[in-house]
Amino acid sequence: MQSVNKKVLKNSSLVLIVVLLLLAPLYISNYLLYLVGVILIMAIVAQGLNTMIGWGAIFSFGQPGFMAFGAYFGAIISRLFPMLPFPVILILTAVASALIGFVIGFPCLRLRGFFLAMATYGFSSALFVLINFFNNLTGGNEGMYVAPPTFGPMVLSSIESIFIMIVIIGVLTQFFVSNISKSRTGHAWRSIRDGEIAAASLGINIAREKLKLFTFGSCLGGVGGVLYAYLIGYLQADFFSIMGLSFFLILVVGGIGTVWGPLLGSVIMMLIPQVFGGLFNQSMNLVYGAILLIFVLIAPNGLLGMFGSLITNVKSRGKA
Amino acid sequence: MKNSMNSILTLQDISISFGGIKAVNQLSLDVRNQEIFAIIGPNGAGKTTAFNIISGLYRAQAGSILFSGTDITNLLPHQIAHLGMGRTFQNLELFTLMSVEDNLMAARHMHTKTNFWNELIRNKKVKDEEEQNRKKVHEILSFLNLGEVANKKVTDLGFPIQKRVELGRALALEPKLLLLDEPAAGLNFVETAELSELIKSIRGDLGITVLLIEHDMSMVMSISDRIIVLDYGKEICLGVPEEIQNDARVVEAYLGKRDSHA
Repeated sequence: MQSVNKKVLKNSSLVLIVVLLLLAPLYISNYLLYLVGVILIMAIVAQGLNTMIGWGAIFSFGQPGFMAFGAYFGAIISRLFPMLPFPVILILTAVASALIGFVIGFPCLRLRGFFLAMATYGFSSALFVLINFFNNLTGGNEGMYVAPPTFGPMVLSSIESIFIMIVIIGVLTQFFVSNISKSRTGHAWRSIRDGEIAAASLGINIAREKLKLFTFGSCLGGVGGVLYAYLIGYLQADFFSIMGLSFFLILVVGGIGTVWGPLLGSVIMMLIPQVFGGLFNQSMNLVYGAILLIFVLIAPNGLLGMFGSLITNVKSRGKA
Repeated sequence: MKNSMNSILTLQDISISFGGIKAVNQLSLDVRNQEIFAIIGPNGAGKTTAFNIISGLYRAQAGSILFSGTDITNLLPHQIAHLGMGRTFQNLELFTLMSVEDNLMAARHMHTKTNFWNELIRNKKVKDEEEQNRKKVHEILSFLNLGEVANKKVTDLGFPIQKRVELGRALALEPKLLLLDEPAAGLNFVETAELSELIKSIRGDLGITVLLIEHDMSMVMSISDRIIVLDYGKEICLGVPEEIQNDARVVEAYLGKRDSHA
């Protein structure tokens, strides 16, 4: 009975948080809406990387690239086809990002560890160069403005409507990832992380599952990208190229391989500049570096990993 | 080529060499349905290499392998698993970051039919099938007396228990043929006796054919129907336990020739 109560408690608090987020435009300022929106977007993109690293041990540096791809793809098709409603653009971007993930993953996933990291880093770097090269489409170094999302006759240019869209996609992402983690596919992905030989001996097709995982993670990167484009309304390749390590930082802080780690990590990493920005305005990288070091040394499993093991320790002590 | 009437696994003239050393040299053997068949031999005789060829981790450079009517010589490990072959490893290959239950759930992969899209929304079909799998997993765990550690992380368990978890994971595949690589290594006398009973019951109650590599001679002699002895990758002797025990060539392979050092 107790576990049933716990489940009800957990579910109702989740629903409460979602409702509070959806109603947030009523009670917080536009600046805070923007900030929370960025946090949720970073969490979506980081979730993509989280599934790749935390479940498949696929160390990809391609996530900023996929985010940039999604952002520019969404922005370009909404300029070329202004009549398309935003859910269609969102789905088209998700499909296109997944497709690019599939095409990039197919050759890259034959590599492992360091070499895979380099190959995916190469993809990101090449993409940023291409974005600046095709300046008639992307505005090149000048950047490009993003047309506000539309839905039928409505133009959703207000930050409130974009924010609600981001919340919905964020909730869906968490829902999908948490479902997958419990399922056949989730078990297969995590078994690949822990031992490919054993996984293969259980009938798991390693190459296929890895490609599926990479495609899934890339898709989340692209979806985060198009939401980012809508939220800030203006794009430059540099926005994405400087993100380089921030997703890794988010994961290390939140907890790699946990369903909620990316969200927790994003909240913390986005709030740090708000808190310390005044003190260290010229040297935020110093703060990030210190945080990374502290976590890697003291809590390599991130905050969730740390709390998780504390909770299990207390529980098993209670039983003994 | 066809499996003869009664056999589940047939190796014909299998060879593989690594850098000029013939690890397995023209090995032929025939494992019959529902038998317990042991491969023994001194260290470096090519026993584990033979296992790795059978389960698809290595590809034989010559010869062919037939498993329950299918030529598996050139198949990949996961394809061979799908035909009903499970295995354990000499140096445990457990999924160390997962719980015991999840280790076995991962092995239900090929018995689960749901697709990715259903799993994303976790519909009733997915939940029902997961429930069935969990039931099967717990059946196996209680068969192995592991019910109490189902939710523990494998790294929190002692070595003998970990070995049993790995056995459970292979059983969760519901294999027709089970390959056990030194199942008794690192176990004490009592644990080895328990394991012997367990292997007999895997064959007797579950109807699974067992092919094992083992150094513990008392166990091999007590549970095996037939035994093959390998040395330098070659068969030196094949027969029932009594024949093996009394064969001069076997004694020679293990202890050396009587007069060679004199």
